[in-house]
Amino acid sequence: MDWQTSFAISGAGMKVEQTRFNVAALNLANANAVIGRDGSGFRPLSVIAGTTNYSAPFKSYMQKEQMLASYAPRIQGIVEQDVSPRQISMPGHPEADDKGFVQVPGVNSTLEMLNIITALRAYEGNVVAMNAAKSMAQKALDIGSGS
Amino acid sequence: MIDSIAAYGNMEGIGNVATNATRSTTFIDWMSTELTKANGAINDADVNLKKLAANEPVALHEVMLSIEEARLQFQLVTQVRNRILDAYQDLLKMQI
Repeated sequence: MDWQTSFAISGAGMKVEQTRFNVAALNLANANAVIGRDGSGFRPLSVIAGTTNYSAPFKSYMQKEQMLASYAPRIQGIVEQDVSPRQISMPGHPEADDKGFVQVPGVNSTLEMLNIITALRAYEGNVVAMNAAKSMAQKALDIGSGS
Repeated sequence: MIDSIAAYGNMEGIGNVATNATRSTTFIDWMSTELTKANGAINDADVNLKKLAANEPVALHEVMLSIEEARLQFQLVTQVRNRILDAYQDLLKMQI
């Protein structure tokens, strides 16, 4: 029974999508967290997901059925987005600079909502794929049970 | 009389023929390994469930996947057992 491969692939996909969701939610949660005057504070993050095991010289060897699970996606890293902080005029705020501006992370709320929705849909897709694999396995166990 | 054949008993190799033959894996062996696998899968699922209940950091989908894996493995063993039992009952019902 090699249904573990199907489960492992779908499980890896779910793990990636869960991490993407977590990072998007973290960005949204930190959208108004003030960055200190010394520059210490939250920067919007994004997820790098990919297949680590992919190497071109061995492609023909790697593309074997029993190697499929090693192609499953992995989180390769969580990196800071290259966006500058937003400036908000809040005179009197303890962290405000000389001109009365406070810095908050440059979170793109629209983009993060989009990330949440795509992560949710992709997670659902992985669940559907896993359920389909389970149905196939159970159908295989049904072979011959009719007689 | 016994002395005359006793010499053959010392011939090398005769006694080892049976043990030297490569032992083919029997159905019992297969059933036993699959049962062990099913038992291990159920134990894994149990461990994961306990972690979840104890609020330890374990991904929910990992728990569900291990439960489903255990269920499938157990269903495989059960179905094989059903088929074998059917065959056995067919033999019992055979007219002689």
